[in-house]
Amino acid sequence: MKGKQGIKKVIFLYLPVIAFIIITLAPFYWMIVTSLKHSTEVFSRPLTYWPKEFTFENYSKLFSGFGFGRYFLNSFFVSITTTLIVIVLSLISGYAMSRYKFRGKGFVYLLLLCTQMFPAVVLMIPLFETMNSLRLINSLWSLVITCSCTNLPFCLFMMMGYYNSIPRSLEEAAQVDGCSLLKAVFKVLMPTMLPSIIATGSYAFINSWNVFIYATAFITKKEKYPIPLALNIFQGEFNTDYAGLAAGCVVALIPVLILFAMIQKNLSGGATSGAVKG
Amino acid sequence: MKKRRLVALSMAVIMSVSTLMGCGSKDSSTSGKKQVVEFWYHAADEKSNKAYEELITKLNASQDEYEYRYTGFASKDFPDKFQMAIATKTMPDVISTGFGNVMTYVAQDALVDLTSYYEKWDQKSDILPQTFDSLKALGGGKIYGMPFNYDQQICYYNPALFEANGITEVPTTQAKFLELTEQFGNREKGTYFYSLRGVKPSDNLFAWIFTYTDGAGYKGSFFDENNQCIINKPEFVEALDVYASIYKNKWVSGDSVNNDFNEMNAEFSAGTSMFVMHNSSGRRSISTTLGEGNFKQTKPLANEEGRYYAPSMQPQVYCVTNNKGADANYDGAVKLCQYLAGKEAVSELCQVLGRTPVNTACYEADWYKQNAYYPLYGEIMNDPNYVQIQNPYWLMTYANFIKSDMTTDFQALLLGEKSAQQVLDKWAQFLTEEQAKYLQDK
Amino acid sequence: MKAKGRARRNKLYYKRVVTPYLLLLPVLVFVTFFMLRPMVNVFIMSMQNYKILEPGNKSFIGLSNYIKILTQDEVFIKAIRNSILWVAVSVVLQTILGFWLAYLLNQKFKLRGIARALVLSPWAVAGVMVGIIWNLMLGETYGVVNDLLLRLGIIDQNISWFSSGNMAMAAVIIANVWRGIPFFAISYLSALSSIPEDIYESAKIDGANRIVTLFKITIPMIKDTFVLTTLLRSIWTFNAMDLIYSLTYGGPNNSTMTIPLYIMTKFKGEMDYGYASALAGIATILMMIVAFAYIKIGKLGKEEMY
Repeated sequence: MKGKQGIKKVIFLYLPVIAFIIITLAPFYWMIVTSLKHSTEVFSRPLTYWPKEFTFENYSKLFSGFGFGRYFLNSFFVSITTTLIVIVLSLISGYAMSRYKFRGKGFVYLLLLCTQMFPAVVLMIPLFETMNSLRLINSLWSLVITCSCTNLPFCLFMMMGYYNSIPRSLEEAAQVDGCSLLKAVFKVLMPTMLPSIIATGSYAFINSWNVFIYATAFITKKEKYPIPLALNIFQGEFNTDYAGLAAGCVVALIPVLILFAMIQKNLSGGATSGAVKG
Repeated sequence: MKKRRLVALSMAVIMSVSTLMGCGSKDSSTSGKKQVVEFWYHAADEKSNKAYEELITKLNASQDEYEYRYTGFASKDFPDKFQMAIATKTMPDVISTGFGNVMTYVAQDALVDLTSYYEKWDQKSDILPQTFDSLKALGGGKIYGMPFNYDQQICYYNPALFEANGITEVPTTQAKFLELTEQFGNREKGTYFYSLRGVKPSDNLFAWIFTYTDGAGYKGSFFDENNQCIINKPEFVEALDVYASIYKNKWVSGDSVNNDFNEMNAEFSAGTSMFVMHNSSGRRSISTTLGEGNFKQTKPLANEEGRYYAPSMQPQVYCVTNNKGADANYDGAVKLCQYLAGKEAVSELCQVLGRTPVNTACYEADWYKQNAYYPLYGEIMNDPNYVQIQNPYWLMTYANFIKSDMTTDFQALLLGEKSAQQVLDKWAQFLTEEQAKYLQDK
Repeated sequence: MKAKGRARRNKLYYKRVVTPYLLLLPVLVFVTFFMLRPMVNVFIMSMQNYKILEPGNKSFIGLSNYIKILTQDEVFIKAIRNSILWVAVSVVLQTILGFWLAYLLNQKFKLRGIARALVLSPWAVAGVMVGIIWNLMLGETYGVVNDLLLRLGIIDQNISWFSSGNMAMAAVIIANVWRGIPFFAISYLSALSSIPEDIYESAKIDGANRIVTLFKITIPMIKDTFVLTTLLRSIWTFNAMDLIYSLTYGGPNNSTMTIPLYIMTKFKGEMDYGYASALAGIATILMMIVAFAYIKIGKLGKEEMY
């Protein structure tokens, strides 16, 4: 009996998971190997699956002349600030959208949905003018604002869905117990919603981590570049430095991997079941 | 009570955001009496940033009238940034740009006519006369930029692979080239003689069809005396068919239809092809991925008469932006252009970046003479068999045309979805129309 | 005592009416100022003859741009076809694989934490970089994929990914699916975790097997998440172009040219702002139609919507 279940587990769980991991990691493997090669080994034949000669020059280059540390901090600033703003705002307004019936709700919903549909390229000029009039060109806040705006609708919808899935009785009970609405939301719903908040937050974080199209428009000072913009310099007019690009990409990935490692526990767990039962 | 708290909370959020925003945009204008001159470089990488920063520091130390500031942009970003700056009237004072984009900016009234400044420049006589001619032709008699380097169209080959395959003679003619392409194009093994470029093919493509037809009556212009574009002549159609047959016959990789320079270089560096056509500025890239000493360069392919056609000298230039009106004083900006196009700065930059200077004063310097690659460019320049193709870059839509329409049509031809006749007819019609518009505006 | 009660009732009523607007205010201010206002600007531009290279000719031309797009533009038709293919195939594959992955990762097994962190990581790579990595891997004569397949004896001749429209489309979709699976996995994972475990337990007691549980309980329970994520992901996939551009440049022969990529070439290349804006307008309208149909069919939010 147990053996049979073991086999079932291998076929239906372990094998697919391993397959997913391999497919996921293969491109990363290639990226890391490339980043550890001398640029002359990147294309050399026969193709080497492991660097013939290890080199960390692509990495040391990033931090010495290139100034990657600075770009790293910029990206961090943009991502974290955006994430915080988006989480707070979508928690508040998601609650309104989920728990209240009010005039114009459908309109708000459609409005937010429409903002997601607009191709970003054409917004560049009007947004640039707006940012310019606010004196935010070359300020990281211009990116925080645009990232917040572009990520807000989705995060709001997600939050709304999460609120919908939580019985209203939960915070009503708390309110009856004498809590204010805010307290009820924060004290009772927050722990229940933690996985959702984390999922939403990580979504906003990653999207802002990779902010690119607006950064091209709003940031012209090198010391304000976020990572994706800074990496562009490896793609020269007649020259693409694949090894350097790969190294930059690997480094840019590390904080996100750490983030995933930290949050993955919270992405699921029986938090809700306990709360509902109680 | 509760409501008030809620209001307070939302207000707090808005307030905190807006106050924080305020901090972000402090402009540090600590220049004092000095006039600030902003310079944007259009194709920055680590090396060029370092070189330019040093040069600008030196210039700032040598005088105290102006404070020059340098910003280097990745070549991918520059067009967007500058376009945005034009649109919102936030241009820097000086920019650098490729030859092909000059008229795009002139059309938007973004650049200052530098002819009078150029005439007064003390190093004017050192500039290669050909570049001067190209620039004048480009600006319809006016000069919009100070040239600093140019790209020479050449071929690169892999000597080790030549030897391994028993190719003893480097091909110099198109006929020989076709023979080798056929002989060594092997899909089964995945190795080829040539790497074709399908994205932005114009330089290779025009060089091919003009050389193949020995110009077919080309007299220095794409347009005949009636301002009709000549590139759809039957001779050119035939020549283009021959060039396309290289792909159709599978003598090059299947992917090459969508090869840009990067992919072409990747094939060449992987050693899956041994011969490519590109310009002198691509050398740095090839030496990065293939390794110095593993490739050699040779003249563009010639026809049976021994003549070869290649794009004319299209220098990269420094331009002064029109951010103060046409009659304003641009001395500070011009001074920077002249400094950067001058012997000292050009020497420094071309040495570091592997570019070919147009300032002949550099040709006497040791670094130039000792370089293994420059002699060929000099030889080509003075070769009576070299005929320059004047691309009509004065048409402001031309730069985009070769990027988009020409790429798509050429790919359609290679994939058998369009014929050479259709393709060239379309191009000729487009160029004739654009030329008519140009002449009308003039 | 009585007065206090009435005041309290009034206050409660007042609260219910005003609170949602107050709660939504910051978001609406943000979105109106930084998204809607620029969108209106773009809409105005779309009614103009606004070509950067013809600075003197800026004028109001009504719907001419729209008419030109719908009647004369062959690339637009091609781009529509490509966009539909690109979105539909990408999203369907991502949804299925993403759900499967979430389902797997929601079960308990050893090293689950590490597996989760690893499997979710492609999402963190910028679109441009995804294009470059996959270009490096799929290249016919220099890529690792062909090299590996040759060595393993699976193929005996290089596969050319970029020599035909269908293959090139397949290549960009593969890269996009690779990148997009984690997004779905994360969304579903947090949705799955919100399903109370006792429901499963009672189903088990009732004798339902795994498959029945999946279709009868799990999927209906996360339906809203499902509809919303597929909808939004479709919209984003539609608008995402950095990956395509860095992998195929939209080629060969426009076979991977999607609408936003086409808008970009009109906007940045030809610098015909009027035309590009009109394209953006049409794209938005088309998407709105599709999205509303989808919401209606998916009954998103059920009675909550009006």
